Amino acid sequence: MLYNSHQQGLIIERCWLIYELVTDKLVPPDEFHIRYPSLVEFALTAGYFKLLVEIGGSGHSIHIYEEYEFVEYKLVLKAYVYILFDKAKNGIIRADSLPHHRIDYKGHRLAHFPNHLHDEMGRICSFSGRIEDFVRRCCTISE
Amino acid sequence: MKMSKEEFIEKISKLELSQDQTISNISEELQQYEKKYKLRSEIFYKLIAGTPAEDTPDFISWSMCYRSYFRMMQSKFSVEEITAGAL
Repeated sequence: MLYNSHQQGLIIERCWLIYELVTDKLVPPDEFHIRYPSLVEFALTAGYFKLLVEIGGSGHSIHIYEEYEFVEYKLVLKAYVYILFDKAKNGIIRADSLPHHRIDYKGHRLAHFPNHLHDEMGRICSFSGRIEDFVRRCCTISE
Repeated sequence: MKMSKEEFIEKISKLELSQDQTISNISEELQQYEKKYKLRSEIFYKLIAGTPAEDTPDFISWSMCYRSYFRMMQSKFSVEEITAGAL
């Protein structure tokens, strides 16, 4: 097994946070609740979490990919990509932590480098790196 | 229907974590990327991961998937080698 029980506990907590966010803010279909434990199982063995789920009645879907690593006793995101897709599966907004952008579209330094967001116009914007902020933004778009 | 945290923990605690099954799933995912881009994962990772060309949704996910596969294979084979040595 790749992870000890403490590390597994941290992954489970992270998965719970994502579950709460998705269910509270984005209205996933009923089968999401049934299949979610298998996604957690995958995360516990693979060290990364992946989710693609339709949200609300608008045909939008959200894609969450997170890769975990452990620094001392803490879980940190080694990499992530969050995407909101439209009905035709075209990306609307995307957040990730690749270090290839240093400034936003206005020429200002990214507030939380390397975290950034590609907005609806494809422009680079500052992003906190917090999944809560991404989900909040998805809510406003998919409403 | 939404699970409570207690239900969630209970379901998770009943899971039988299968490393082999996960490796199989990740292999399938890697093969899908390889087929789509006509490129082996090892080559993709050497040439594209860590460069600006990686900045697409598929490539970011492919990198994560490949690193995970690599970690799991390292973990699996080290265990097997230890076992083989003990016998």
